[in-house]
Amino acid sequence: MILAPMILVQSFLAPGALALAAVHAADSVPADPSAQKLRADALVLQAAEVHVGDGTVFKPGLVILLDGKVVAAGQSLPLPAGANVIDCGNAVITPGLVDAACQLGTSALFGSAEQGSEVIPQLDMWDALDLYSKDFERLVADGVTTVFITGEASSVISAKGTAVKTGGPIGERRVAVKPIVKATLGPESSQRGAGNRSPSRFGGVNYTARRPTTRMGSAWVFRKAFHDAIAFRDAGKPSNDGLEPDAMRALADVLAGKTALRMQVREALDFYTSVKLADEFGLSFTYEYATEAAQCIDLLVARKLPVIFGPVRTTDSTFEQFEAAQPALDTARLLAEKGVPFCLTASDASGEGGLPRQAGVAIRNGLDRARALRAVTSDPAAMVGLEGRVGRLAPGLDADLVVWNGMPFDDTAKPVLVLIHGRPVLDLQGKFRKENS
Amino acid sequence: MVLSSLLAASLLAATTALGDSAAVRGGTILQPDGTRIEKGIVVIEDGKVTAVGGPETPIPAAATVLEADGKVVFPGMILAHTQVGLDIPNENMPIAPFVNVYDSIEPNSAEYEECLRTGITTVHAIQGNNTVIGGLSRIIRPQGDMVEYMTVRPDYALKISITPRNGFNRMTQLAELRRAFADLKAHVDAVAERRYEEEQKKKEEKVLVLPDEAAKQGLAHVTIDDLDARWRTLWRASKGEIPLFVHCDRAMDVSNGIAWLREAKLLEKAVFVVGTEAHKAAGALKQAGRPVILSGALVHKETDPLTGKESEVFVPKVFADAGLPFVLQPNGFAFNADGLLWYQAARCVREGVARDVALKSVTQWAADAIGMGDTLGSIAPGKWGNVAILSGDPLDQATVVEKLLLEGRLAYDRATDRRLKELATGQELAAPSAEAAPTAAPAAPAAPAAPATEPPAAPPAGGGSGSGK
Amino acid sequence: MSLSLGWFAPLLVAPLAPYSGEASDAAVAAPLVAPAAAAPAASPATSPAGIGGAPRWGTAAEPAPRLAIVVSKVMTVAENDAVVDNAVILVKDGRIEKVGRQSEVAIPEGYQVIDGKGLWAVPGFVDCHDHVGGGLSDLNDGVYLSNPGLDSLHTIDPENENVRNALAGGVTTVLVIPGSGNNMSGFGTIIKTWGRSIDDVVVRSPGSLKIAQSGNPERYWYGIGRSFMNWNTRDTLLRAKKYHSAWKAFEEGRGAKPEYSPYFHGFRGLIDKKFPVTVHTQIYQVVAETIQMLHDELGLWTVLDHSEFDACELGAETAKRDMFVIVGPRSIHYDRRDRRIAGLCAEWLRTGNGKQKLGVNTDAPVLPQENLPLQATYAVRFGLPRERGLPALSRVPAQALGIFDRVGSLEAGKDADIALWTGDPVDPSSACLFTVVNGRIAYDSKTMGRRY
Repeated sequence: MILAPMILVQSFLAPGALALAAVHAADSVPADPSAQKLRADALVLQAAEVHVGDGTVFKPGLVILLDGKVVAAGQSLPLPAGANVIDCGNAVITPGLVDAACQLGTSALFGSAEQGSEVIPQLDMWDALDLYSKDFERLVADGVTTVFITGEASSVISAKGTAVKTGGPIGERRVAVKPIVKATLGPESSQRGAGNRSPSRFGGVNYTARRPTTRMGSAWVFRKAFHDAIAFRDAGKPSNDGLEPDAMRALADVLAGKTALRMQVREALDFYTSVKLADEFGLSFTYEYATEAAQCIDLLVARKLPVIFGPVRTTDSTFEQFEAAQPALDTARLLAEKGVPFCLTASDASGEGGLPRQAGVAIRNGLDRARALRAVTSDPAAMVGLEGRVGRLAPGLDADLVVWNGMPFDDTAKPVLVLIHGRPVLDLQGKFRKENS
Repeated sequence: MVLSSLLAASLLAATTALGDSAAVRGGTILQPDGTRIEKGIVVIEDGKVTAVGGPETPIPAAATVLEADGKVVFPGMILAHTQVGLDIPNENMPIAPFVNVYDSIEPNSAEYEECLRTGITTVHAIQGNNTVIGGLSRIIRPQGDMVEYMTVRPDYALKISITPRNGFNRMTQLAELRRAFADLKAHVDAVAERRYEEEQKKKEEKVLVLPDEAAKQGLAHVTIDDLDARWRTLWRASKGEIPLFVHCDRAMDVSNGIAWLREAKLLEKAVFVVGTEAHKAAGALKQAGRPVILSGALVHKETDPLTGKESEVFVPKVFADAGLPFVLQPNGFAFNADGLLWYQAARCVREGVARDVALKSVTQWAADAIGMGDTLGSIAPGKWGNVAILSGDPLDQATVVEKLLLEGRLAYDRATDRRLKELATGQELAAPSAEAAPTAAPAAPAAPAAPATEPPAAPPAGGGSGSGK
Repeated sequence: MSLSLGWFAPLLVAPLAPYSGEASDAAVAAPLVAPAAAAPAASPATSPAGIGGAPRWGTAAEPAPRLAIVVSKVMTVAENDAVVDNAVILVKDGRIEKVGRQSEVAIPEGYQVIDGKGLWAVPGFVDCHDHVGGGLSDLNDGVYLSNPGLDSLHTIDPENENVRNALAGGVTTVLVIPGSGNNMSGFGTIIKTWGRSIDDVVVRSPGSLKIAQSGNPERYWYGIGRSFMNWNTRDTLLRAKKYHSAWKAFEEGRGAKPEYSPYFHGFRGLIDKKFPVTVHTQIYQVVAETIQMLHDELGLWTVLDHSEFDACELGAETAKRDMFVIVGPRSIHYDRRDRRIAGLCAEWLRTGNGKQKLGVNTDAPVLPQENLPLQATYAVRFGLPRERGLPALSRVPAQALGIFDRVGSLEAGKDADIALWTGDPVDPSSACLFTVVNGRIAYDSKTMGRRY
């Protein structure tokens, strides 16, 4: 038994919102002969509602977990004799949340901004990741169990992203994922980094002389890098901008579709540039952030461009310093209505700006509740090619789930128990469980 | 003030002539203490609630009836300590009790419009915390074309900060505070001495005394007009005539603050405005027995200097567990997605604070903190008719303000909120045509600057969405 | 090059690749439409999807209305400077269908009548020197002195307040150019000041190549002078010419396929005179250098912008070469020798023996974009013949940019860019009340509120 029954009872009853019926062994549940093949060390969670993450809801429902995987979820399932059954009473169970464009978890001191070059697709965010960062505990507290850490916006073409679980043994955190490289247009790649200045003032080109200081410059760096990559791929020609051969090979993979492309874009005019640039090289891509997506909805619909939208500005967020204003608050609803494939991201925010709050704001502004849940679970999982691993409570997928003390994304609700691979990473006393790591 | 008095007088007549009655019918009346009346009726006459009850409650024939079937009727919420609508929080001088927010309140501020949109009917506009002694505050309604008409209570409270302002330490801060009161005393003594002499001159038998004695005896003759204008407010404050909003960011500031307030015999006039770390002084605050207003950041984050271990404390839970009433402020303001006042209350419930405590912290306790607990903060006969008609429960994230009554008059109606669409969708609405351009509501039906002890003055009528400016 | 210049190397066109005329299939093999994309065609709205914009920028699906604009006077500003009194302008499919007297032109069924009685109709104005079509932070990519490859197209923001105010000054076409902080700061873009998407507003991209010969690059580039700056500019353009002729030879079957260069491909249209170089140039010596180097030596289609100070003494040279001179933002020059204020336009005209083609510009935001008509007012006040005022705002700049076939006059077949004024726009007491762009009502002071 992983969870001590007494802890369950005490903690659930404390807030008063939940009436936890009982914790009992499965022998009080009608036994089904076919269930005997399930081993007795399976864990069964019962709750008032179980949201699978693909739109299916079981009321009441239960989930069976074994060996870190979901065995089944349903309204009434055959239970293995002797299995641990945890009755979560009025609680609601959802899959662990997934953020497809997270910017947390890198070293607080140095971040991942590479000042040596604007074009670093050969690098891997994994190498900049600090798995001991407090950020991951904050993500767990938000119910986020899988994050795709995306490239840093200071570079025009940034590093490959990496996917990790937010808790559990350090050695098991990394999740294999198809390579995705991110490009950033607009002011962030041209004005964010240190020292975008005339090299003459420093006696020559050096690491303080990052190239673009305008949108024009960012677009040019993007074009030039891909032209260099083509010349290198086809004729072995070295880059005269000092691009590493590895960088050019990485871009050739993007051209060949072996590596996916993201474009971080905030303002309407940058959407236009992104399409122009992609067309020049025959690239397909996914938008990240897409702050002014509402203004560009025709473009998104016509081009069928997927969007990882967010975050809406909250007090904790940091991006106000750039030009983009608060996005239209009903953007998520608009994307859903127009059939644009999308999911939500909290980017570098957690807590009051975190993913549950992003979903909450979307619901407040008209997004359907079920769609909102998909937008933070199965949709982002699919955006990073992990639909077969996380994002739903379906057989064979990772046993990552969140138990909420109310309706998920309500302002008054929060995760009270978070499991990753079937093990608690946030326990019922609000403690982060590190003994697994 | 002659002009404003004239204005007030002339407008009072207009208001009385428009004396109004309204009734809200059919909604669930939700009180801060959690009690509910299903299909309830609220009757408001001349700006005051005259009846609250079930469907059987009689409605005066003349009343305008607002139907609220399926809605939630909730008292207007209160910002008990805020800088919304002020150009800057603090003047660049440490001792400024002589200034007055009256001179910096912007009636046209979009923030006041946002107040109405988010269910806030009363705003205590007070100077910020980066000061030693800040100026006089004012309790206002978030609607009106002139500060006079917005005013609920003029010249209400003073801001005092025990926490050092930027760039100074605690010793300097408290030294400056004490010095200000010492300077005040020196000034008053000098005036008293002079007044003593003036009084002596009128008498036939003149008594010569030492200066100290002259000051003591002359004090009875000193009126506020005898003082230098810069010291008048602080003199009143020193006599306990003005509430003091005392900013204590940290727990140590709370104890310093209480000590100084006892020393100055002003503890009974204090309202504590505290930062997150001050939750450690919850016991001292409870003992002091004065209202406590929490900062917008509700989570206290701390890193242990030795172990590096980070910890987080949800501050309202500490106060709730200690049985100490507290008042919430928004985090940032409503322009942020998480900046709503009721969102703060919802956070409290999320973190295990009882629902009635969370609801009181944005209504009744906030009213208590600004000395208007008998007038505002719940829907009860005799209280002002500040009532929000909500689409649902105030702690539900999908809830919006559908209509807002400010002292019985419709101050906000979501159906006619032109700006709302723009804010929510990013769509720019066509400018109104020249003929149909909604100009600011005419001044005629506006309210006078009535003191709270008098019957509530009606706010401007026909303000519509509050966005007509 | 890099050997002889030593530390100057970084000042040049980035770290420049040695140009090679040898054949390479690199560009061909690449999955891109490189040559076409690098030198986009001049036609607007060809993209299958305009950038969204629908919520803010009119309705995408809505067809252009048919308009019958009834006015008291039409200043056609055509070559013959025709004026039509008591006129009607028919607008259909975004273009001018007919301009004629009310007594002679019947208004067909289905036309929305715009009652402009008492008003004058003039062509929408054209500004050759505008920086406010995009974000002001995107003007100068301040790292290198020459920046072939940069394009102001990526900065266009048609929702920009400045652009919208332009409509209230009757300005409907602007050339958005990068700043003058570099010698060569990128390609300009000609846009309309109203449209529902970026594709919609672009008239021609590139609209021009922006060169600033002096006056500002020195400020960003402490320690350099005109000898180096002009050498560098010339060197870049010579490489571009060489690149173009290699490709031309290849296309005409006279040589091997050259290697594609993202630096120089965009220059092919310039060398081919598909678009001009608009030169931020001022002061006698600098303008003389512009004439000698860019026009005579390199044979480029050269338009003089800014054109201030004592450069107005060069009118004979520019008039002889039939070059366009666009004046502004300064409109007067204090002549120290004669101790008098001279109107720049009047001086250019005088030194050009009355033949100099003259337009005015604002250099917005130096002057607000909507103030363009006042530039003509000033020119006239300081001696430009009054009949040259309106052409300086519309026909001349349109001809200078090679877009007179579309804009700059009110003639059948042209874009319906029409502004209704209370009187002569050159008279400062006149105001623009109504503006039509591409046949759509873009500004109506009555319903949208007066903006200027």
